[in-house]
Amino acid sequence: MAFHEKSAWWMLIALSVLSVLYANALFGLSGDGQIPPPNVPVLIRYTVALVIVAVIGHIIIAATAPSDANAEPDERERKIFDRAGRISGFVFGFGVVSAMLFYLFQSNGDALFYGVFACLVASQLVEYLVKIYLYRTALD
Amino acid sequence: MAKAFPISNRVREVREQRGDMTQSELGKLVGVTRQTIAAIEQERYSPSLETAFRIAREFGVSIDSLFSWKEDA
Repeated sequence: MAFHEKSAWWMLIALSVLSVLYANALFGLSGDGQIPPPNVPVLIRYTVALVIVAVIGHIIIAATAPSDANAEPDERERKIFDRAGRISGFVFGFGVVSAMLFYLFQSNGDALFYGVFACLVASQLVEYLVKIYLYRTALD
Repeated sequence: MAKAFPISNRVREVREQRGDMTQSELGKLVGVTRQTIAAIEQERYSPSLETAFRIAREFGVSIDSLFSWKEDA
């Protein structure tokens, strides 16, 4: 398995697990089942945890194949990254516009924040999934 | 279902004729990863013209003896 495919798998799992934990932490802040306003300490903990997990994961992946880790992406990998990035960008853009439209009609700033944040996470997850798919299938 | 590519190749066949060359070694010689060489050999990826020329040059054969167009594709 290529270094960048391993990286995509690792980040897919890490981002999924930590995002679920983040959502659980948010719901835990509210006793009545309502989503609380954006909470800076929880967001910082989520971000720091994600960075630490990503760094540790990549150190482990790189240690198992140092030459692969230092290599530049080749022509096929650049094509995979371009396509994954384009689809991910579309998901993010669509989500942000949807969140803005929701804000226009509901005037709920918290929902706008969470909507954009969810789109950011979703677009990254889609990017990792598309990368993994394209690594494993025919690429024209 | 796997896509049918219009370009077929004899990269695996020619590489195996040489006996001692691995996908990884060929990849290093032409500037792509082992996985990309595997994808080319399995016809899951059609290389750029530059990479195709590099592979042909490493084997010392002409590009049209290595890559061919499938008329029925």
